[in-house]
Parts: sequence; structure tokens; C-alpha cells
Amino acid sequence: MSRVVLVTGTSRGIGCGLAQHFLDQGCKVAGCSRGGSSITHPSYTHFQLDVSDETAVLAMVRAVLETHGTIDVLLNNAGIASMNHLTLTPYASARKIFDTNFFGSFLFLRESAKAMIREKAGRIVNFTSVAMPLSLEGEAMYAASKAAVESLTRIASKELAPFGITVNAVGPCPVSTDLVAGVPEAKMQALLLRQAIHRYAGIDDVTNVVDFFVSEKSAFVTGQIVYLGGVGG
Amino acid sequence: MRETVMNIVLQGLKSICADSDIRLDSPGTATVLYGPGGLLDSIGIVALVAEIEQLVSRDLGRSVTLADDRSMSMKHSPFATVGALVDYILTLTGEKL
Ligand SMILES: NC(=O)c1ccc[n+]([C@@H]2O[C@H](COP(=O)([O-])OP(=O)(O)OC[C@H]3O[C@@H](n4cnc5c(N)ncnc54)[C@H](OP(=O)(O)O)[C@@H]3O)[C@@H](O)[C@H]2O)c1
Repeated sequence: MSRVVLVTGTSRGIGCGLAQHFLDQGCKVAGCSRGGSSITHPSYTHFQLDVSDETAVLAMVRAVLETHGTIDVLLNNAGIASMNHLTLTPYASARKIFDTNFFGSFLFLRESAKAMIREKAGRIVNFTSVAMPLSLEGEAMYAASKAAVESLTRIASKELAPFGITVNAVGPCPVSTDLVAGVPEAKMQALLLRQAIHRYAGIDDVTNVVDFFVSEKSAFVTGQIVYLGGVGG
Repeated sequence: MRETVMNIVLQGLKSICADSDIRLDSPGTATVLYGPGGLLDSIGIVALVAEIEQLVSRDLGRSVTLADDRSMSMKHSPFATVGALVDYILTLTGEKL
């Protein structure tokens, strides 16, 4: 039977690539973003919502369950970044980063986990970033929100293990998407030099780690954070 | 309505108990779910909440979140007994007790 995969942040970037990847494998994919869909495929359903809107998240999960009966895989990909010196970071923008990256992941994790608990199986992958272990200057709020995501990942892996659900996180190094489009190239090059392998990641590099985490054979892999490019935790 | 919600809670409880090999003798309003003398441990309560939310959604067409701010801060936990849980679901779905 084809798996039901819920991906957040599918309108562009990594989330769009992930959605396409799982559609190519014959999965049913439900995606979301604040804007409209960029994917047209008979097995794809788009929900226009903000991941930090609890009511909208509940409605989406319910609609997915009504249509497909289950959620096998959750990919908590939606995220935003904002480069700024700590002293120049507006409170509203700090809140927005946490609302999207952390609370959005929490809401989807909580609601999807309830469906997975009933099935006694499930795979959840959260999204962190190398900005967290590298403690990148200018990314205090972004890195802190990802630290929270990592903590959530580790604890959720323990709390959900009795129900056969694994929870892991992937931490990409820079991928050329809109998320990093505003960062000066010199800064990006300096960042690449801090990796073991000095290049941008492709979406395929991210998909590869996600494939490993969500594989049915990975039932004994949980609570793990994998960074790309040879960045250590 | 109370009867429908009671049936949902009992159906959820039977399914969780069957899954965990817990003996369930003629459950009713006074059946203790959690706490001293309760049928379920914390993992069992987590599974029961997931099951009942799904049944409420399916049978009543309503999304409810049982573990909300109100339920978690209530002096008398809505998860203590079958009756308390039925009352709480009726409150959440806006029905008069
Ligand atoms: N690109 C990188 O270099 C890099 C590196 C490390 C980690 N990551 C992580 O990888 C993930 C994906 O990043 P990306 O590069 O693909 O970003 P992106 O190209 O900017 O795409 C982000 C996606 O998330 C959606 N989104 C953002 N805020 C949302 C909200 N509040 N509610 C619903 N959807 C929302 C966006 O759609 P709308 O704007 O329409 O809502 C978009 O579809 C993020 O978690 C990011 O932190 C990326």
C-alpha cells in the first residue's frame, strides 16, 4: 500500500523537492504553505495555512485522516530564517521564527503522532540546521529555534517509542533556496569552509537522509540528528 | 448526546484495554481510568486520548483537543473516571450537561 506523507512548507525549496520525491515513489502527499501550491499531481493535496495556527493545523490533519485514513510519515520542513545582529532583532521577528520553526513543528508532531499512536507505527522527521551546532553569528533566533526543535526531537523520540514511532531530525548545510537568497555570497562561502565538504547541499542530499529515517527498516533509529556536509554536533 | 459520547469513551477504552491485555469488567461512569486504582498508566492515557479524539471526529464530526489548557489545570482531572471524561467531552462540544 502506498504511504501517506505529510510535508510542511511545500510551495518551494526543500519541501517542494521532498513532496515531488515522495510523489514519484507513488506516495500520497499532503502539503501546506501560507501561499498557494506549486505542485499539481493527482496524489497531492495542498492546504493553505500558517503552521503556527493551531485550528488550521487540526483541520488539515483531520482532513488528511478523513481522506487517507492514516499518516505514515510527517516531514516538519516549513521554516523561516532571518539574519540579524541580536541587538537589532525585533521581538516580533524573534516570535515569528519560533512560531514557525518550533511551534509549527510541535503542532504537526502532536497531531500526527496521535494518528500514528493509533496505528502503532510512524516516522517523523524534523528540520534543524548546521546554524545550530556552528552557533552562527547573526542567526541567534534561528539557531535557538532549531535547538528547540532538536530538543523536541530527542524527547519526542522517547515519549513516542512505546508506540512504534521514530522521531529524528536532519540538519542541512546551505542549500540554494529562497531561505538563504538574501545572505551575501562571501558569508555563504565562509560558512561552506566550516564544513568538512566545502559545497552547497543539493535537495537530493537532504532527501537521502530523509529516506533513511523514514525507511521501514529504520525502526531502531530514533532521536538522531544528522547534519550534512560533515558538520559535527 | 450523552449516550453517544458515553459510547465513544467506552469504545475507546475497550480498544485500548484489548491492545494492552487489560481486563475490563462491565465499565461504566464510575470506572477509574487514571490515578490510584485506575486501569491505565500514563502511556495508556496517551493512547486513550488519541483514540477518543479520533472517534469524536469520526462520529460527531468535531475536532476536539482533550488535553487543552483547561483540562490540564482542572482540580478534578477529566481523565480520572469514565464519567468525568464524558462530562468533559460534552463541555468541549458545547453540550449542556
Ligand atoms: N536552505 C538552506 O540552506 C537550509 C539550511 C539548513 C536548514 N534548512 C531548513 O530546511 C527547511 C526548508 O528550508 P528551505 O530552504 O526549503 O526554505 P524556503 O525555500 O524558504 O521554503 C520554505 C517553505 O516553508 C513555507 N513556510 C514558511 N513559513 C511558513 C508558515 N508559517 N506556515 C506554512 N508554511 C510556511 C514556505 O511557503 P510560504 O512562504 O508560502 O508559507 C515554503 O514553502 C527549513 O526548516 C530550514 O530551516 C534550510
